[in-house]
Amino acid sequence: MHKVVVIGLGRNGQTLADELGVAGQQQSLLQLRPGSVRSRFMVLALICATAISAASGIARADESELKRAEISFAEQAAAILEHNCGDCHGAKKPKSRLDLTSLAGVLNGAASGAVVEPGNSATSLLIKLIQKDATPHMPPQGQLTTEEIGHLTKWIDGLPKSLSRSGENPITENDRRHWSFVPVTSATPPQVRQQEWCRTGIDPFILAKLEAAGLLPAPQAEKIDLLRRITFDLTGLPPTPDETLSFLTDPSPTAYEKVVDRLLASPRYGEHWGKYWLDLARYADSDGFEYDNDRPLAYRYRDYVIRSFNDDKSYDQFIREQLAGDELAPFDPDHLIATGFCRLGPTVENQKDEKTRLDEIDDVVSTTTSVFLGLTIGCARCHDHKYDPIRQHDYYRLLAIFNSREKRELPVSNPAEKATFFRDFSFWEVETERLQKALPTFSGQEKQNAEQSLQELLRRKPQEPLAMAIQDSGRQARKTFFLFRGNDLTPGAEVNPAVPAVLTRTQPDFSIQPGRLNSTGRRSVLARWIASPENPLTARVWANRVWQHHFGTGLVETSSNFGLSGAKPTHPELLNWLANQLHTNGWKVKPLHRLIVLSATYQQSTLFRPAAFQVDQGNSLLWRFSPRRLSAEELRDSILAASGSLNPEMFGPGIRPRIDPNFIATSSTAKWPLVEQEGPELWRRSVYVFVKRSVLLPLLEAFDAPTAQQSCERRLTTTVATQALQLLNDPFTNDQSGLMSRRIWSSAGPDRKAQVLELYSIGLSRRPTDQELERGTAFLKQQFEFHHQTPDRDPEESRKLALADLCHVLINLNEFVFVN
Amino acid sequence: MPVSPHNCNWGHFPSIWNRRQFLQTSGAAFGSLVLREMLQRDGLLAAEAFRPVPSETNPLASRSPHFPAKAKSVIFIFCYGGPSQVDLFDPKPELAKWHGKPIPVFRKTDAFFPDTQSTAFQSPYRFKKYGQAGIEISEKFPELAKCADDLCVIRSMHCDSNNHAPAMFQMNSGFIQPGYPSMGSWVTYGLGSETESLPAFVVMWDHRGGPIGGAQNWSGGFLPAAFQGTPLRSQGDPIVDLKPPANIHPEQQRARLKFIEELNTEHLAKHPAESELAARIASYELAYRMQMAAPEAVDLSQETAITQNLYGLDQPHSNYFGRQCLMARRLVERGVRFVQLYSGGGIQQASWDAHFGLAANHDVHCPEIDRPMYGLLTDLKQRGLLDSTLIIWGGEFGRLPTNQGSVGRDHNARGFTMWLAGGGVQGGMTYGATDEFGYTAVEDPVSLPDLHATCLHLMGLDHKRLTYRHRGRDMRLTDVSGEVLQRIIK
Repeated sequence: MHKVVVIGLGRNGQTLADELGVAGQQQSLLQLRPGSVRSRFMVLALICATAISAASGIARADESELKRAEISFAEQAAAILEHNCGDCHGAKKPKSRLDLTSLAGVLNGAASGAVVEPGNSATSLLIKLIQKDATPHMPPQGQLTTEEIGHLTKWIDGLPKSLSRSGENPITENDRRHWSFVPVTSATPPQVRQQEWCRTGIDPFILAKLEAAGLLPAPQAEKIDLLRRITFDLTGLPPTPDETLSFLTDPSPTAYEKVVDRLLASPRYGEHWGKYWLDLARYADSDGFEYDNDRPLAYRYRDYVIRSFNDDKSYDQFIREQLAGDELAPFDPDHLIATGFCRLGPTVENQKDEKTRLDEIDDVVSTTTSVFLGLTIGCARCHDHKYDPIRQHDYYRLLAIFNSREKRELPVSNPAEKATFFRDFSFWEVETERLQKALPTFSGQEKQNAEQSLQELLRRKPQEPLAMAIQDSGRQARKTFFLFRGNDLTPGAEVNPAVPAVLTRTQPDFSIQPGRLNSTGRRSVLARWIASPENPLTARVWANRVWQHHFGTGLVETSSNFGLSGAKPTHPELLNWLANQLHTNGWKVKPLHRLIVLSATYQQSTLFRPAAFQVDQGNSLLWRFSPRRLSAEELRDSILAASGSLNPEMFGPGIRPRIDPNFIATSSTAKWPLVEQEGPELWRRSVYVFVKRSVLLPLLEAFDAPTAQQSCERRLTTTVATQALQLLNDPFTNDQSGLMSRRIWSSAGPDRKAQVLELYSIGLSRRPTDQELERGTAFLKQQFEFHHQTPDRDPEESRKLALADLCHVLINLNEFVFVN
Repeated sequence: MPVSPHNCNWGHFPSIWNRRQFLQTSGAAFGSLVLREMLQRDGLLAAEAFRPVPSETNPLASRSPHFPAKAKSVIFIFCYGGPSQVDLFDPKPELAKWHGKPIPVFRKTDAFFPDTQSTAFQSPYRFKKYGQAGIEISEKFPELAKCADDLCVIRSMHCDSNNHAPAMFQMNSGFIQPGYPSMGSWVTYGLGSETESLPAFVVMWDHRGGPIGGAQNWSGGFLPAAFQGTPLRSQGDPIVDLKPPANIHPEQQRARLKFIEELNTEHLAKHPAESELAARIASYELAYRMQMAAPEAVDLSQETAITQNLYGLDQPHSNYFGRQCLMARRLVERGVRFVQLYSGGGIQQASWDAHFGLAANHDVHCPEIDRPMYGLLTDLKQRGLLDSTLIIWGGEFGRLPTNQGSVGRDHNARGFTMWLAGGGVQGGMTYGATDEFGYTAVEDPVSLPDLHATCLHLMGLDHKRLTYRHRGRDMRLTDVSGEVLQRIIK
């Protein structure tokens, strides 16, 4: 045990002894008589000092106070605690997680909270429990002597108050220097040698790094690859044969740019990019947990997101609406619907205690800060953040902003709908009242009829359209307390709302009340602070998310963690530049898309060059465009698009496609319906698929759609056999193959060559090679012969079945599910 | 960060998955396995061993544990709803003495329902000592009791929620919140699979339906989808989409598969460096093999009547769960890593959730699983598989020893029983204890992270080193705690 002291390293890498300023004493410590209680605890004390200063949330105390406390612990308390309490509260597996053999352990307290209040023995639980008449009493068997109690009391009274767990570590200048915490500045693109390669402001940043690494960018992608890439990228769908033809035959230098603008203006754009946001917002149409009941109004939020992207709503506006729409525009439906963001997480609906409520608010705090700020602040609920300069107090100050949140279903009709509703309602009211009054005057059959009519009326009470929204409980904010270890049973001092201290030197003013509104106004203040160009994180995080969805990987790979444990940006100046672009173009995202997709960087081919690979295996320098597999939704939508059955209807309640009846069991009162045969009403884009947390659509789940339990910033791409089974055998793919064959037959007719040409054009946006054409027709012929063996089958029917076989093959091709 | 094969190779899954390229891999390496298998089956090609799929392209490829493992596979019998410890494995004579009287340890806040009372409710069942170790087991498990010397009965379990869904999530994933990988996913992630033709992590449900929370219970959370549990049906085709729809002729399907492979192989030849394309071709080969292997694995007609009866297939009440236990053995024999069987489905009396009558509930559920569990342990033992198969039995929590109504019991998160067997676990022992009422775990309390750490340890995995980097943090099944229960390991 002695040796540990010598090799232990302190926070900044110096030896423990250095850090404690006891280098000179080190030898004398080691010379203490082995086995003496005093020597054991001096050593322990030293080890603990490192542990405390490195990791715990205690030390607001300065280092010298800590050292003194360590020594006083060893001298006055350690032996008594070890002797009386060590059996149960030792360092190894201590009961109630209370370790009384080290200062850190004593100050950290038990699972249920603090046991010692430094400087105040009278309020210290430990002192209370060891008194003779205490119930419960510690130790369970035995009793400390009056002398021992006196020693401990004196020791606690002598501890500096700064050691209290309710103290807070200050933010240092060094903490503020982390790259993502410093303000966004305007950046000048670097000088490059091959200036002529560059097309947009992005390219010099990429090229400079490539040149520095001695690499050349890849050549420009083939026109057809580029069209597939950009169409999937901006809309999540393949180009139609017409779109392909018109692009390939457009010789103008702006042909590609025209395509980009067409796609950005397409309503399909919002459906695709909105889905990325829904992943972040942990969007689902059900509660999750035990009952997992449906949320029939949730879809309005999904539609709001899609509309916001299509309208190119400024990102700052988008933020403000979602966090505080109810305060900023309490009569605007979209503003109310947007606040659904603050209640989309999974909720426990069969337990209504304070812990459950706090868990729900925790979901809001964690999601808000990770989505908008790229910080893992949820980690600071029970202790200071382990890596980032985010204190546990920061967490509770943020909690204070959301703590008055109430979940409300609020009316969201537009003026016309409102007028209709009021007309219907007043009619209904008059009619009901009339009937109720008249009821006693009826008798016999007449009375029965009237009663029936009344029941019918009551059932048909007009409902104003509602949305899942939030409001504060009132102008007076609910009190928020610091919670030791995040436990609501061990509250500390009351805290006031504030934003994380490391991100600002001047706190926004949370005392401003929103006019005469019955709300605290705190969320508006937070929303404005997040959506401000002064916030160092907001624009960086958003620009990086946009980049990630274009290239597969963000400039910061951990796109929801811009903290110290997150990845460093591969191109920090470029990220700065992009964030600045967002600021200068009014937070619009479509101009950002244009900058990116019109760049030479984006238009590179996927050409693999071993030499470049040797230098940069991960392609973080972007020496080529990385090919990618379609996402789950893109895959399902592409199949529907290829078969011609994609129903373009937008918005409204979620659709529930067929799921094998064996897998729809759940305890929810609202079950997934049994679907025998799918029809056009279910062949809508996957963004409209009802997201039930306990029953995810197997096709989407297998291809890495998120579980919708927590915010998902980036999907994984995995390849497993069950995916192949689904694409080969599921009734969905087989039905769609049949529909695709009908589509091809109707345009290409019975000619096999024409069929193969059409199939390649629809599914792969290209002409088959001669060899492919020959193979395809041979396959059709072979399958025709197989099907034609069935007696009495019409030859045309056999040809159609053969064509369906080829369509099924197409859906399963690598080329169909990968984008170059 | 400790360096291990796990966090090195898998630490940033998406980037490796997307970017790793195989210069040395040519399209030919993935060849035409499907084609060859067809030819073989048709007798057109001499039988030849399959080349294993390169591990880089197969996330489920078998991997070495951190240290030599005691157990290779796990069968987790999850009695969802919360079986009652004081009526099954943890007898409390004090309850008879206090019957109908308020017990001092009761706290209103421990109960889930407001109508739960503080009065002791003695067990309607008798206990007897079994085996050389003399472990006390309830009369409801007369068959399982014969295996007493194989059981390690942990009587001091406790968890963090007395609400079903959070408690089930914690039992499965260590967290009361959803969205974290389940133990089956972690084990599969850590060790891969011993079989390439069956899913690595398999889940089977009760005949009354799935457990509450559904797929959230066997979710892979933030791990790649390859590691999530695959539900297995006990009747019909075991895996959904295992076979083409009825209107697709096998010959027709084979022709399609062959052409898919031809075109995909040709496409790969044009893009030889893209590993994902190769991986996807391999996945079709695996799928093809799964079509053969899965029906065979669950085909119980291959078992003798003696074996079938050993599992209670001859009795209507134990037939369903007996079939699942027998399937579990067959799956484990074929290299499946983690099998989870849910007893109890739907809600309330359909599960082990005995609010409205302890006896009325457990009288139904116990006999359903008693003989099958006995059969499973006995059969594994006689086949020499028990030592390498860890059996876990338990529910998401236990039940309070007091009354809910006159004959029911409410949830209890403070103390309950689970048992382990096989897989390097010391049999014939009890571990820990609850207080005299069976209310709170007081002696050697075992948290779920402790249980999880122990299970991983038996699988040769160090719970502190089995990490996955998610959002900049190395995540663990056991989060920040967990102690291996060394005393229960052989």
